[in-house]
Amino acid sequence: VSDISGSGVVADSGAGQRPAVYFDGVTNRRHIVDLGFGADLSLLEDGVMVAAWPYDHLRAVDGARGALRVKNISGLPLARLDIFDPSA
Amino acid sequence: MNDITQLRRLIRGAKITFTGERGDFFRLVRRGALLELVTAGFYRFWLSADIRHSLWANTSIDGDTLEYTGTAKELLLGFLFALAILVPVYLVYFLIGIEAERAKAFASIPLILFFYAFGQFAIFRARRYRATRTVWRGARFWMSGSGWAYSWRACLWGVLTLLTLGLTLPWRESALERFKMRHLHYGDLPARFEGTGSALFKRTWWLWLLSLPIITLPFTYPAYKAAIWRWWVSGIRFGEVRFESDLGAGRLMGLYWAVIGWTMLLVFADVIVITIVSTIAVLSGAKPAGANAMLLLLRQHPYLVLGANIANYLVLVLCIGVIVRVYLVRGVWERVVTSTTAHNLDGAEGVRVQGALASALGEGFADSLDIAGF
Repeated sequence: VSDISGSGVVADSGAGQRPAVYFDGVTNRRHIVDLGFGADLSLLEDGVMVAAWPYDHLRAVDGARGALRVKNISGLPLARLDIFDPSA
Repeated sequence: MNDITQLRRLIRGAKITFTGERGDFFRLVRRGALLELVTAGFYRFWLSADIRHSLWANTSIDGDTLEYTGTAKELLLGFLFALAILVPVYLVYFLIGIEAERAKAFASIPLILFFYAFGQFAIFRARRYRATRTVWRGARFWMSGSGWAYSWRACLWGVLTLLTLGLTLPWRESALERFKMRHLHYGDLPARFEGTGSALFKRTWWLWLLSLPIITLPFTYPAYKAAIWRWWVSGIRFGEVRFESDLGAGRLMGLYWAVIGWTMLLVFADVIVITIVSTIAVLSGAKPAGANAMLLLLRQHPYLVLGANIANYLVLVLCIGVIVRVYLVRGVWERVVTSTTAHNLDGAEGVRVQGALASALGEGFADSLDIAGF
């Protein structure tokens, strides 16, 4: 089960769980990312930061039930981050 | 995704799911109908956008939901632009009609032809608008092609269909769908349509025959729509990705009959309300003082009866609108979507984002001509 740990990183401890999925707005490839909550929202793929989104540029858009889909208004128009809430 | 899930997907394809609750949708359209009433219909653009947001966001392909990025403001502006073009056309035609009164018997034919051609243009452009507002996995759908090129094809096919008493309708549908689909793209992945007129004819010829007595239409029309949807979905291709629908002929029957039943019930309830109100008015008018008061009231405020009639009509139409949206918009969407399986979805991986947003002008035309659909 995924959880947001005190260190501010979403950890994926369950097999097949998807804590967060990032679409970079360039291709439709699904990037499984961990989230780092620092000065910006960091998206980390295999420990490497692939994007950093300022919190005040985040906007919620339509997403699946039990998931939060956000976009970054200063980034590519179709870049999206889907954050899944396993408890929902 | 684990190995078993991957293997299952390869063998069976990826099922498309719909997670929206009917109760939530009903509350959405009920609130929308009330706001349409108090805003003299202006809320319809917001309601249309809300309906699409709801349908798209609850539709999931291989675990990822669709996203509708269109806004009510775009729909409103598209509608106003369409009015700015269509109203002068109406006016010019009206003035020409006065001048050419001798040819009045045929005066409406060019107007009908013009609006038919315009309607076809609008259908193409409305689909283009909706495609560019549909996003899946961070890539949007988009369309190239000319609305007028579609329109003249549709008009020629229309003439042929008319001359053959509808017999060539399946070939018309497939030819026009092929035109629309070959201009559709998902990112850099082009779409195409592989449904054929003969396949559609085989699915629907018996329904066409059964529809001839007219009275059978409430049964044959839902079956016809189900056949069309199944044929349409099963003909869609995006590169190697193909879709398949197993929608049965009777799957939409209940939805259409629910609309018929609820509408009849509503009209029946409305007749009872009108009867009660009229009876009360007549009974109070039967007393000498009451009759005088009633006559005085109606003489001083003649618009009261007219206003009551208009209000009754609007409420009835909006209630029927709620029924139609619940069953024929959400219901049909849910059944068609959940009947669909996507095969070879791996062929849509790594697609590059492409395509610019199209204006809502076509959607505005479609809306003003009342051919907008979803």
